[in-house]
Amino acid sequence: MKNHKITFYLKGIVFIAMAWIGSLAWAQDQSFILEFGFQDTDIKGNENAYLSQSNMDDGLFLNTLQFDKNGGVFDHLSISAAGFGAKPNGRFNIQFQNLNKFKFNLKYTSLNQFNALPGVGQVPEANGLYFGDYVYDRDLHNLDMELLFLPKGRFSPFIGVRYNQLKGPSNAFYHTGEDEFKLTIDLEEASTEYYAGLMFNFEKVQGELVQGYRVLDGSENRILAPDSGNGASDGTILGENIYLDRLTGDAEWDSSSPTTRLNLTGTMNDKLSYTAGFHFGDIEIESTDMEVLAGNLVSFHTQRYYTGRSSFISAKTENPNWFGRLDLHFQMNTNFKFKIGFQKKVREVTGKALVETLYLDSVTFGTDHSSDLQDDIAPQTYMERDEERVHATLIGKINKNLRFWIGGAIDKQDITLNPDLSEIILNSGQGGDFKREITRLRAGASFKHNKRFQLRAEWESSDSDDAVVRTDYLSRDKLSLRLKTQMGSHFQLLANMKQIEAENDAAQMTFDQEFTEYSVEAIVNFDHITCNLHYGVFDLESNHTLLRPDNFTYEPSVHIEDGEEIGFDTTIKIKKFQFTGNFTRYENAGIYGFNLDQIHADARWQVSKSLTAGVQLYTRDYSDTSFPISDFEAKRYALILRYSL
Amino acid sequence: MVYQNMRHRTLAIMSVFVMITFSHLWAQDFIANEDCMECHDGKSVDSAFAHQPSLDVHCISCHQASDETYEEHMEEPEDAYPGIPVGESAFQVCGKCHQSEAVTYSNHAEEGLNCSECHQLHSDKKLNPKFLITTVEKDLCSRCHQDVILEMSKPFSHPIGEGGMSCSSCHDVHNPSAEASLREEVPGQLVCYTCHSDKKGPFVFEHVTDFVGDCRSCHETHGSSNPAHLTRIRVSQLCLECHSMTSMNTLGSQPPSRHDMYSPRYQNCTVCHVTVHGSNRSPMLLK
Repeated sequence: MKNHKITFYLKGIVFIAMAWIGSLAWAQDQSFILEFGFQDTDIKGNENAYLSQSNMDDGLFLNTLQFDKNGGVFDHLSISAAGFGAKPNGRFNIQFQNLNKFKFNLKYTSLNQFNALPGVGQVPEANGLYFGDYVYDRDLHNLDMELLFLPKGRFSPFIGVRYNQLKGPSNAFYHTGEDEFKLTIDLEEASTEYYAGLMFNFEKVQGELVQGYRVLDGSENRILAPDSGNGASDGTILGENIYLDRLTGDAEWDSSSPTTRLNLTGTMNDKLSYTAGFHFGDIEIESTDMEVLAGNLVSFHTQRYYTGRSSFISAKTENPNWFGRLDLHFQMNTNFKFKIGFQKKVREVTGKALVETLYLDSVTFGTDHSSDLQDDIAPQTYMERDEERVHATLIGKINKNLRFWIGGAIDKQDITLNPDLSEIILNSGQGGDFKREITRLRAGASFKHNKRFQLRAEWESSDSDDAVVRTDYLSRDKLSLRLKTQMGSHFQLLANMKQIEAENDAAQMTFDQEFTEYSVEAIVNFDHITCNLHYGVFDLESNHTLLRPDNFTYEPSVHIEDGEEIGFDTTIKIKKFQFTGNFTRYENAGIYGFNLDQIHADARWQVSKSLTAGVQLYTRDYSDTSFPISDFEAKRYALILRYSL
Repeated sequence: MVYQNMRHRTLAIMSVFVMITFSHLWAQDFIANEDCMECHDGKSVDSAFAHQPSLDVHCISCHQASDETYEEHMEEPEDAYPGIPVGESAFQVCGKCHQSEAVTYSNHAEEGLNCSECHQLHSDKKLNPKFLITTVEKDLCSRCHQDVILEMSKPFSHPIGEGGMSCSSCHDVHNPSAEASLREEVPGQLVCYTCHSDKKGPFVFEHVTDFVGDCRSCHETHGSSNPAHLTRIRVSQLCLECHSMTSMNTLGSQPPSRHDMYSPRYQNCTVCHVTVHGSNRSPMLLK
């Protein structure tokens, strides 16, 4: 994981140097802030668990870079960056403009996605697979560039490009020959969208029309992981010892997709205004996959033993889709506003795949003859998802302190699924037409008094006529309360409550979920010290009936979380010294309990007008009562320097 | 003589009328930024971080001053300046330039929040310069959305405030129409695909991804007690809640009976059904 972060690190250094030199070269109206540090992590326990949760590394990192300048070559220039290096993500942004001529914006973000699924998501150790084997470690890079021309007038054309790359290794298990084998997979996928558009601004309507073209290509290579040829099953299958000597697979895919987008905001008169949006896309993806494996394997599908397999898959997917919305806003008078809207989303997917498989040296379970066996399938699938929403809300102001809103919506879902016969394992639940209509009602009010007291309450109730999947509710109620009060000039109290209840009491479903969350926060604020004490509870209880596949008995699926969080923050400023401290404890006493304690301390000393130095300590202790193998204690120490002009 | 008096009176009345009519323009010329800066240098409007209009446009473009309010303010400088846009009028003032944010239609606006509650319009070097917000974004949002911050305290959460990611990475607080003010780079499409692009498809053999429900059917977005932000600790439990046959007509096939749930081998569906988000190769999502 550290190697591919070196690239980010180098980019950050080059960029910082450029900005630094730039800041020295120009002495006009400008501001410059650079804050960076070096950190070292010390992990005891399950490192994969720590990386899955926090994903911090050792080394240099950037906290803040901000450079702004007015005048000179550009009327305004802004460069900002944060993250990179030892942090899992980073962003870099440069923007410059000349008034009435152009505006240029470049944004780059990077993100490391790491997940080792410690503790769960694994076949337990007794079956030959180990915790943390299912690893996902990929880097995402996004680059957006846009040039907006600003001629004096009603039209502003723009051009841009968006680039998105996902790259990196992962481990996964592959079910073949009636056993599971660990594979090492390397994926690289990149999409680029070129677009051009026109912003327009007339007296009564503003908006943009954008035409884009997106291309995507990707590849995936997979091989049998070292020492994984014996598979997950420690016994034999039908008397045979199942193993793989080798497996190689290469997949490639590419797609093209024109996209059209229109957004409008306008007024029809001084009472009536509207917002509208439309998007159309037409995606086509073609892919191929070639796989070769050798070993000693079993196929229940063909009822044969075999010693090798070669397969070739070609697939094509078409996905036309569109989305449209129109919202009307009617300002009835200074105190009342009514809005009504309609939106529709349509998505079709047509998929075709030709799977050609050649089983080598296959022998029937009766061992009556040995031969190669060709097995071809050509499944075709079709899916259409059609959704509509009509909604209306009345927003009113009783007086300058009290306002309310009341509204409702009707959602209609219409799903058609036609799976190919070759996909169907059992004759139920894999296709057909499904319809669902949900009626929602929503009401809320907010009250303010002298900027010292604020109360907001909202209630929402949803009723549905049917369920498409078994976790769909037939009724759902949500209540939320929010209180904010200022007592004197030094004390503030905040409180929140959120409650959600959802259920489906149909026979053999009995889905019942209740979720409650309370939080309260007290803030004391003086010139030199700020303290913040917060406490919250998080209760979730969900019951569902499921059918065991092995013995066809119904049993309850229960999930309980009983979370409690307590935290304390403080900031102390005394002349040139500043200390920020934070402690948080999260305890979950639910079915699968755990404790998570975090401490963050940051002390800084202003060495000179421009330079500040600091130290940071961050601890994260995780203990899992259900899967102690996931436990870890992590400490992170950092030195910080901040330079500002 | 009478006519002369009438003419004088008429001229006098017309002069007053003209003066009243154009007094607004006069006031704009009279109250230049330099006048304001004699006292308000602390507003840092000359800072490179400052709100662009305060550099290029007269203060009164936003502060809507008249002769009277200006004079009153000069006589009683400690009193709040009556030309400060507050409440809903702030939306009207900001909306003159920020039409694209559709500020007057956002959920926040409807509940009575105005721009200045999140944005420091004159800014200051010491404050977070990003969009002139008044403090670090996570802290700003937590002033009201403590419940979300509580969810962020769980072990598996998005890395908010660690460099590249913030609340606004997923939420566009000015978006007037989207559910939970979610950002929509492609209208009607969940923001999750911006980073998790490999889950987007379309696939020949689709699963939950945009098929029925969405990412939130199986994942908790802000933070979760369970790995991979799942809504359940055990993968098999999550899967079987849909994949159980009932007398109802629901979508979700029942696994074959050889899936012995007493055997650890079958307790985690994703060990074999690796491509749970969709596959171009395997109808059973095995690869």
